[in-house]
Amino acid sequence: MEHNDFSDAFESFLQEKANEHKLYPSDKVWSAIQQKINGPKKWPFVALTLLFVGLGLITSIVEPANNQLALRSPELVQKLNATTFKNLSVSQIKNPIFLSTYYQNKNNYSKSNHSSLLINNINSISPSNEVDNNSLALNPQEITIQEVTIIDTSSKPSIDLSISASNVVDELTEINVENTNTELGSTNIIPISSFQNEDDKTQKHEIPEILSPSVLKTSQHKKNPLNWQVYFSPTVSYRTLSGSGTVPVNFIAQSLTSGTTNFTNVNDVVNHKAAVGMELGAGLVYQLSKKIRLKTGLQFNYNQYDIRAYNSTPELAPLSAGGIGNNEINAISNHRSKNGYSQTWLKNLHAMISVPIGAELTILGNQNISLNIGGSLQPTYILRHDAYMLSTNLNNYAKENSLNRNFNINSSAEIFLTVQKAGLKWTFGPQIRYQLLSSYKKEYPIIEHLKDFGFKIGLSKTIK
Amino acid sequence: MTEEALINGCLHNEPSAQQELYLKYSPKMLSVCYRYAKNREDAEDMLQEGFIKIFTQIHQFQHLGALEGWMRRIIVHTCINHLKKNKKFSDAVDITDVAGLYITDDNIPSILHAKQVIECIRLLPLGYRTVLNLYAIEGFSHKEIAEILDIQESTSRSQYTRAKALLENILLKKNLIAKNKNKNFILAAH
Repeated sequence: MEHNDFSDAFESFLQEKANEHKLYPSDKVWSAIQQKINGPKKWPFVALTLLFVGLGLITSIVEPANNQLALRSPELVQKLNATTFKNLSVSQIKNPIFLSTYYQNKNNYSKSNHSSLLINNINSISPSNEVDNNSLALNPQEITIQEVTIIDTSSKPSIDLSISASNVVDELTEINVENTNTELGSTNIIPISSFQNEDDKTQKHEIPEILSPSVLKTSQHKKNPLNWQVYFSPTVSYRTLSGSGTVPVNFIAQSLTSGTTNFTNVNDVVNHKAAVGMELGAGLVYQLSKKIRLKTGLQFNYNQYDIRAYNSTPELAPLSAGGIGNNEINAISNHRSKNGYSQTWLKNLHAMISVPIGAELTILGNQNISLNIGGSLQPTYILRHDAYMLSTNLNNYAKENSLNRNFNINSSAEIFLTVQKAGLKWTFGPQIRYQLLSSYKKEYPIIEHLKDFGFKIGLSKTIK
Repeated sequence: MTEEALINGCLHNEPSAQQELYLKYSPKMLSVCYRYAKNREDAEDMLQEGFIKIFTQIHQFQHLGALEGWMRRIIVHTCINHLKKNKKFSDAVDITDVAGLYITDDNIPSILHAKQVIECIRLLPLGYRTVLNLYAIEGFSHKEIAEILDIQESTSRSQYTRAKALLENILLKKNLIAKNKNKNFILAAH
């Protein structure tokens, strides 16, 4: 026991104790200081930039190889330039080029059945190119044949080479064409022979009997299974509370003497109301099958709700199961759950970023309009947790950052309508998001699950 | 990093130096703010405002005394300005009669020692607490306090006298102090 004269030592005693005392500020203080003195953090912008750059990269990587142009080799181009089609002229060449073949039967091309030959980027062929030989040197490994269109614009048939990106060939896998003049001596050389029209006026062009086994294997053009997607959802945020407050014996005694009420069921005490939040995200959707899609991405959630409380003089609020005096976590509170001197509403908000991983299933509809259901699990990092906690004696509201959980898992379910128009898919529909783990750590006996109801509006497009 | 290096780093606006300075002094400075503030949230607001001033005005540090003392003065003035700005202090400082204020045992927090004392100080009305903090802990004279708070010097004295008496009552009840045989107050060390 130390003995000092109070009047002389009072100030030094207070100074000593004040100097001993330390409080550790929450992380948000430094973040705010840093933001003020060095400008806002750039990581959200960097993250968004990375996201879009990533999407761009994926777009370019997954561009289907069979859509790419076939004749890149200078040799092939040279051979092609040196090649002429007997009695045929190339009327138009654009990029990509579809040569549509028309045939009526095995030997005659007609409009009723068609196969396609896609030749991209044959820039060296000009519309005026006349072809002398019946052979066209093509590399089957580099060429995709989708459609060959032969139209008759004059007395001679011509090949209409036009952009026809929407044409998808279902059937053509092989074209066998006769090499009548030029022997290029390689299985890679695909001779196209004698697109000669025997009857110009009928516009039915015969292809000679296949004499050569040279085979041009075509790859079927497939739609890219990847879509990018952006979406926004205004939400209404609620929460569910469970667990009961811990009311230590001394509090019960206190309540008996002071006349204040202690509650044991948390839901008897809490009065909260929903507020508007939002969800914003971007991601990729992979078409696994005709009806099933997988999706992932990056999503930002903002959730808020209000709690009714009552202003009071500062009181100590126990926030862990042990209560006051058991070396547990306590906070100073100016808000009571009941019986304060004036009513107030306390704003609670959460900002979080998550990576949804989920699936979608088409249950009705066609390519243009469909009804779908979807769900996802969302590993989530809480960026900001600014919420009042009910003290474990259920008497006060206070904030204590050390009890907040930084990582959580959300789940979501949705039903939505997809409408495709002008190459874009619009999605609309209600959704629910539910936080699977409590917002708080285990030390806090009251369990809170956030839930958000929203209406999602999304836009997606196939990556080309 | 030495204190000199920290100051130089802050003068050059280096985030690492600023963060180290913050990490080193923020717990003590938050404690200062907490003694003035209504609640922890307000204390953190004061701390934030104070550190922004420190970083933006560090070129004014003259090296005449300890950096901590200079920082502390900025923090204290920030706290006072914060109270004035929010009109909390002007209302509270008018409270001169605390005869009605009744401190019960239940109101006294049972947290160990330094925190216990701080919590006891925080039980005082804001006006009393501010004067007590400035006079007894920060070491300002009543004249300086009168200038800082825009009050009469006599008001500062009377506020302090009452604050001390009230705090004495609280500390006695909490057994942090005791009366000796000569009826003088003694401090009970824990």
